[in-house]
Amino acid sequence: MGWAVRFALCIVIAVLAALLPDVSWAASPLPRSVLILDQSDSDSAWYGVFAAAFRSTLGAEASAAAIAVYTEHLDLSRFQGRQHDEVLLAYLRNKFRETPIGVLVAQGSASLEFVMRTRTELWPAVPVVFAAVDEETVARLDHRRDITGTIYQLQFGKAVTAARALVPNLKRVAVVGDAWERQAVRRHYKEQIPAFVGQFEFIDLIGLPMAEIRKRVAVLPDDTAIVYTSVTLDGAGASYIPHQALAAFADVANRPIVIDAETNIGYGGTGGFVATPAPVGQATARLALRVLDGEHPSDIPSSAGDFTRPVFDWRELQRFGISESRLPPGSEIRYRAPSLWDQYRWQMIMVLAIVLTQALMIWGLLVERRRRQRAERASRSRLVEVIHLNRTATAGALSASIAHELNQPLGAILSNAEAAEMLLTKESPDLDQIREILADIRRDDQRASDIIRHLRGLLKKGEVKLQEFDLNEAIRGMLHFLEPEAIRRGVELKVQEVPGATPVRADHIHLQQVILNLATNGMDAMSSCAREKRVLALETALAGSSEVEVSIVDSGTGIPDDKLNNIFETFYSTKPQGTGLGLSIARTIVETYGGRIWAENRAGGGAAFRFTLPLVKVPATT
Amino acid sequence: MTTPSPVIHVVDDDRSFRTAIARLLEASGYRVALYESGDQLLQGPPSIDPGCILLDMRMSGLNGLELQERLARLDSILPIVFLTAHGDIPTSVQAIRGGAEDFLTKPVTKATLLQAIEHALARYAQRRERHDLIGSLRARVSALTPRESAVFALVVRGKLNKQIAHDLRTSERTVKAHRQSIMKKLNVRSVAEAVSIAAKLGMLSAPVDGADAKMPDGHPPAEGVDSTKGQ
Repeated sequence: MGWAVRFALCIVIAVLAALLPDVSWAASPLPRSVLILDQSDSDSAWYGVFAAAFRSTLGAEASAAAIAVYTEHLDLSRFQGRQHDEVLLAYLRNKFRETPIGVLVAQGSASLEFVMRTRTELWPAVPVVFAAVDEETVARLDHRRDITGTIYQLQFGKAVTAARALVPNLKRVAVVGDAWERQAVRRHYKEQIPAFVGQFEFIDLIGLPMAEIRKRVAVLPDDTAIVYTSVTLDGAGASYIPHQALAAFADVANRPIVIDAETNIGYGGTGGFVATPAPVGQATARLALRVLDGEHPSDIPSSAGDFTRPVFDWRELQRFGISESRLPPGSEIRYRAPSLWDQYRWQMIMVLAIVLTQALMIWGLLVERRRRQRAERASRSRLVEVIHLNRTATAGALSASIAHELNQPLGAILSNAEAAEMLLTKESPDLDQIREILADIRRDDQRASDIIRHLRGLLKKGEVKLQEFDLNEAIRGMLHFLEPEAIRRGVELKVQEVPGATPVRADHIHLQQVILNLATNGMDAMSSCAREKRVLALETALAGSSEVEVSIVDSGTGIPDDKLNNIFETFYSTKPQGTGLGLSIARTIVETYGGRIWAENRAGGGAAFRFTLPLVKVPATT
Repeated sequence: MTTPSPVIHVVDDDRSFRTAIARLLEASGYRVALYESGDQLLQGPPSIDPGCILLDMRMSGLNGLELQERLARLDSILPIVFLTAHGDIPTSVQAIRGGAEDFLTKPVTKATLLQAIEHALARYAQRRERHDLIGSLRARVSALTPRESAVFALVVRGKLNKQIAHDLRTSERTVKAHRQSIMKKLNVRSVAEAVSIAAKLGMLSAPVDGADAKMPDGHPPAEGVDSTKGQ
C-alpha cells in the first residue's frame, strides 16, 4: 500500500470523527474528575461516611492519573420545587463553566431525580452514576441512557436472620411500625412477609397507638423477637422521629428488638443487619471508576449489593442475656461498656503489683517468723536442758548432804524396828513403848519420803509448769538440802520468812533451783572464812505491795566491785571450778517469771544476792 | 563392890535417831546418856562409869571430829565409835587417826552396833586398867622428894653414881642414899624395874635437865558422872 492511500484513510477517519461526535463519546477519554451531588446538607452523617469510603476507594483503585472529586450538597429535603432547581442550576452552571466533569454521582433518590430533571440543560453528555437509590425510583426512570448506580433496598429476610440469631428457638415475630402504605422504604415488606408465614406466627403490631404498643411488647412470649420497622405517626396520631418512637417502647419490651437502620442503633434496639453508607460508597466508587476508564454506563448493570452489616447494641445483648457467639459472623458490637480492666488497666496493674509485693513480703515475713519460732523453740528447749543440767549438777554437789539427810531417818527406823523386836521378845512387852516406836517409825518414813519427793522434783526433767505456789513454802522445801549442807560446811543457816502468804506464779522447781544456786554460791564464798563467821541468811520480804523480795546474804569475801556487773553473764565465774552458768541461769529464770535479780556487797562484809518476783495478788493486810 | 553397867554416851543432833538408838541400847541392857551436841557432852560432869561414846560425825556446832579432838585433850579414855549418816574416806581416816574405835554408817544394824560397842567397852577396860596402873606409878613417883626425883631421872638413863654425883655436885654417898630411898619409895628391887616405870610414865623421852624433868600433866577423868537420859 502506498503512503498516499494511508494518508487518505487517515483523513477520512478524522473527518468521520469530527462529523460524528455523539456516536461514540467513548472514543475520546473522559476528564478525570467526578462531581458528587449529595441530596442532603453538608452535615449529613450518612454522606460523611459515604464520601470517605468513596474517596478512599477511588484513590486506592484508580488505575491511571488522579481523579478530582467535587461535591455539592443540594439540601433537597429542606428545599424543593422549581425555583430551588433554578437556583441550583444557575449556581452549578456558573461554577463548573470551565471545569470539565467526567462522571456525575447522584447520591440519594432525590439527587438522582434532580439530575434527571435538569440533566439536559446542564450536563447532557456526562454519564451518571447514582448511589443509594431505592428500586422504585430506579424503576421510575423514564430513560436510562448513560446511567448506572447502586441500588439500596431493605430486605425483610435480613431482619428474620437477625431475629433467629437473637432468639434461637424463634417461633413468633412481632412487627412494630406505621401502616405499610405510609412506610416509604419498607413498603415492600408487606409483600415479603407472607413468604415466612409458614415458619413463624406473626404478631401484628402495625399502626397501633404508642400506649398500646408499650402494653403489648411488655408481655410477649419467650420465643418471640420484635422487628421494628419505623413509626413516624402512631395509631393515636402522635408524630415521632423513628428512633424516638423506638426509644418510647424499647424500655418496656420483654424481648429483643431487631432493627434495620443504623440510625436506630443506640435507642433501645438490640441490633440487626443495618444499612450502612460505607459499602455503598465503595461500590459507587468502583462504578464511577469503570465509567471513567471507558466502559459505557449502559453496559454496567446497576449494583444491588448488600449494603447492610450486622451491628448490635452490647447493652441490649446483656439485657437479654444473648451471647456474642450467636451473632452473625463479622458483627459489630457497639456501646460495649469498657471492662474495669479497660478503664483502670494501669491502676489495676499497680494495685496487683502492690498486692503481689505485699503478699511476697508477708509470705517472707511468715517464713521468717516460723524460722524464728523454730529457733526460739530450739533455744528454749536447750535452755530448759541447760537449766536441768545445772540443777542435777547442783543436786550432785549436794549429794553428800542429801544422803546424810536420808540416812538419818533410815537409821532411826532400823534402830527403832530392832528395838521393838527386842521388846517383843520379853515376857510382858511394854506395849506403850512399842506403840511409840511405831509412831516414830512412821514419822521417820514420812520424813525420808519427803526428802525423796523433793529430790525427785529437783531432778525431774519435764515440761516447764507454770503454777501458783507460796514462795516461803518452796524455800522451806529447799531446806531439806540446804540445812544438812550448811551443817556439813559448818555454816550457820538463818532463815527469816515474811509472815503471811507469798503467792507467786512460776515453775516452782525453777525457783528452788535459783535459791539452791544462790545459797550454794554463798556457802562457797565463805569456805575460806573462820568457822564461827560463816553465816548464810535466807530472807523473804515484801517489796512494795506487788512484789516479794528474796535475799540470800552471806558473810564471805564479797564480790570485787568491778565484777558486780558481770557476774550474771554466762560463763563468767569468779570460782576456779565454776562453770559460769549458775548465776546466769538464775537470772534467766527470774527474768522469765517477771522478776529482777541483782547483787550487792554488804557494808559489814559479804555479798547479798536479791531477787524479786511479782506476787500473784496483793496479800490481804491484816 | 559390883562393877556398874556400862553407860553409852550418844551424841547426835537428830532427836529421832537419838531416841531410836537409846531404845535399842537400853533394850540391849546398856545405860544410855543422850546429848544433842558436843558442847552438851563437854559441859556435863565426866563419867567414872565404864562406857563409850557413840558420836555422830555431822552436827551443827561442834562436829564429831572436833569433839574427838577436845576429848583427847581432856585425856578422856572413853572410846569413841563414830556413827555417821554419810561417811567419806578423808573423814573416816581422820577419825581413826584420832583414835576412834570404829566408824559406822547409818543405818546400822543392831549386830554391827553392839559388836562395835562391845569392842569399845573392851577397849575401855584396857584403857582403864592401864590408866589405873599409870596412876599408881605416878603416885609413887610423886612421893619422891625433888632431889630424889633428879637422881631418879638420871638413874633411869643409865648414869653411874659417880656421874650423877658430879652432875648434881654432890658426893657419891649422898647419891647412894637417895637411890636406896628411891628404890624403897617406888617399891622396886632393881634399876630395870625403875626404868620400866619411867618408860611407862613417858619420862624417858623428856629432856634430861636434871631435877626439872617433866611429869605428864594429864589427869584421869574427874569423878562422879551421872547418867543423863536423852531429852
